[in-house]
Amino acid sequence: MLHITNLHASIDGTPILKGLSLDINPGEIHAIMGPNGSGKSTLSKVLAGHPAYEVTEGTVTFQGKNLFDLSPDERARAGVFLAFQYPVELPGVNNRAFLKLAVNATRKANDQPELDDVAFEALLRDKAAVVQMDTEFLDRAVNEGFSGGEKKRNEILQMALLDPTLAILDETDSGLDIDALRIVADGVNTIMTPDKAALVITHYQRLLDYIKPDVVHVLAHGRIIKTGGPELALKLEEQGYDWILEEAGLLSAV
Amino acid sequence: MTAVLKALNPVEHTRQRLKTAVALNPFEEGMLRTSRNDGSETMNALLASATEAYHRVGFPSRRQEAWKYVNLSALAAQSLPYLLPSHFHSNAIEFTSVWPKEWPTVVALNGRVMNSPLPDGVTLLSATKSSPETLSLAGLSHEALANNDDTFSLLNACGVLQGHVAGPVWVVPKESVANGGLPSVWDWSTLSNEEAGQCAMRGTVVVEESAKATLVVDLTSMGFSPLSLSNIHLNFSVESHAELDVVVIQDSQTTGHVSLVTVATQLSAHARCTLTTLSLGQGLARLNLDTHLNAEGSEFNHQGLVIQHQAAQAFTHSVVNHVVGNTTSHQWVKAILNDQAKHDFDGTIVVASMATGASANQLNNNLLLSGHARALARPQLRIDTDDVQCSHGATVGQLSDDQLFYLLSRGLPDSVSRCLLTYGFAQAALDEIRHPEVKAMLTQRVLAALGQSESPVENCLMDCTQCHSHAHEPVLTSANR
Repeated sequence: MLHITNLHASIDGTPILKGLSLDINPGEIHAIMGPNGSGKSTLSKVLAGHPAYEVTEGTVTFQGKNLFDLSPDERARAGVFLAFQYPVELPGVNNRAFLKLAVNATRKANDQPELDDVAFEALLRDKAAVVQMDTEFLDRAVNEGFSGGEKKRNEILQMALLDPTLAILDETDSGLDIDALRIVADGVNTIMTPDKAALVITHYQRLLDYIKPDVVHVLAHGRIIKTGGPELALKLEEQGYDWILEEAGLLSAV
Repeated sequence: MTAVLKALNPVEHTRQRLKTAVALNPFEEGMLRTSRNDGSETMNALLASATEAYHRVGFPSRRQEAWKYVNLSALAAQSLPYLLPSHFHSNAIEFTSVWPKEWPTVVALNGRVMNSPLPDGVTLLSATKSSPETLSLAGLSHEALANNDDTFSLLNACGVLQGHVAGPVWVVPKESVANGGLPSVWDWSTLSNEEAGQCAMRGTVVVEESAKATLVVDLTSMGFSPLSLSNIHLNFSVESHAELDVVVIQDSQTTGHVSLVTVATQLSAHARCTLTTLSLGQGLARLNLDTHLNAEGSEFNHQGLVIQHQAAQAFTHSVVNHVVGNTTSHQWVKAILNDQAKHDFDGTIVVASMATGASANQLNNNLLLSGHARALARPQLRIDTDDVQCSHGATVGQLSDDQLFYLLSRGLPDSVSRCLLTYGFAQAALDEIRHPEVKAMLTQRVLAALGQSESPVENCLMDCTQCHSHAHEPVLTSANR
């Protein structure tokens, strides 16, 4: 589904990703862990098409298409979804209206009929229940005055509504209490089907207790330095990153 | 000298002035020499006062701070005749109301009030019938005229006193509740040979003790003229414990139009006025707010929204006077500027020496949608006492890249994302409108105004702002045009 080959990317002339390669197949959940500053968030933003990042080398194909040929909104409508680490606030933009516009933009692009108010409300009610979101938040401006946890729930609500093929979760667990973490993880698991995939960026093993990864990668110094199964995350939780960095000869470089 | 001048017929006075002092420009000459003067002795005396006051004030100069960036040279260069009601063409307007259709409405076309009979509580200033008390409510007393430093307010007064300008006066009786609409439409396309012209109106609203009123004033100019002027003066008097919610729309749809609107507000003890202003269009629009919080417990709230395109110029000039202590004012003016549009915010909060405990804040935010748009902001405080709470500030910026990316990452096309953020910026200016139907209708008016830009805001948001459930009812149908 997603094939990343030798990806190099920089921001303001500073290289961040330095030869990252990764393959994700349908039905798989991949977790990416790594020290601060290793490039995890950069990878998520490059995949989503943030204009501040420049891709200097490498290729990324998504469902056979060159991802870089698509604008950020085209990528989203093609099925790539990024749950932000820090969801932005949009003062004056009604959350419900925004969600309806987003859903119908994707449906229209995929030759599906747009939802009218009644159909959308039914869908919204169902998906809000999955993330246990108070409907009061639907009538506010997007993310404005939301707690950290509510912002993350709103991200997962958007993901559930847009039903992406590839979901990228950028430290969605940061700032969540234990109950919220479980609810968010349940939301992710609910949308996972054999034809979908997820890339979960996290610092902590605890999220992976709820979202079971098939593959765990360690990202450091702008590239994947180790790949393993779920047991790798457990070992990282116990022993930290030094042993992997040492294996890769990067201990002094990070 | 003054006494002699006062005794003169205004036209004679002007002639005297012409002989002895600075020559008037063609525009002034046309205004002050307009000779329709068939009023009573009282009116003649007031006209003499207004004319004298005008000569003291004179035509605005760009050397004056309040007019620094307003170029009126084209206006000064020629005499502008008043537009006549008979010029109005029924096929020239496409006008919709922004208030419920059942509200009492005073319709003014080309400067003349067309209603007959008038709604309860509404009278018209008359050269022969108006009492001194009624004239005083409209700012037409010798004292008020002598203290008036605003050129166009004085010319407006001259127009009323000469009988050229409509002057509806709406009195909301003590302890009552009332709503009303005041649409005023000018159609310049009906002037022959595309000549220049002008219209004016002087509206007065008095909300008596403990009464509550909601009013929408919609000032719309349409049709092409190489140069046209609308000169509007609105007096709002809110008496003790009364409340006035008022919306003033300044909609100039033609490039050659100069729209000058003065809103003079007087607030008594524990009175509250919430003013929402909307400045739209493509001409030159100047809004002049002159607010006096005269007694303790009074409160003034102003939310202003400016949406300008092409080479439009908007000027918001405001002075909020905290005359006494324990008074409150909030002012928030937002401007959305596209193409080569320009906005100048010149706002001053004045806290008098006796006004201990006054609370005032003022904010001006400008959103530039084009590299050629320009915003100037001059928020100012003049505080003559201690123990007050005052703040002011201004911002000029563009749409946030991070906010834009967030929307794009949800699949919304670039144009729709920009629309959504632009509308979000504007929306806060409508928050204080308490009447839900007025708010919904005004939202559509704002969307339509945003839709005039390159971004199709109207198309992408009309269905999503909860305003689609409120039907637009035209104020002017073929029957009453």
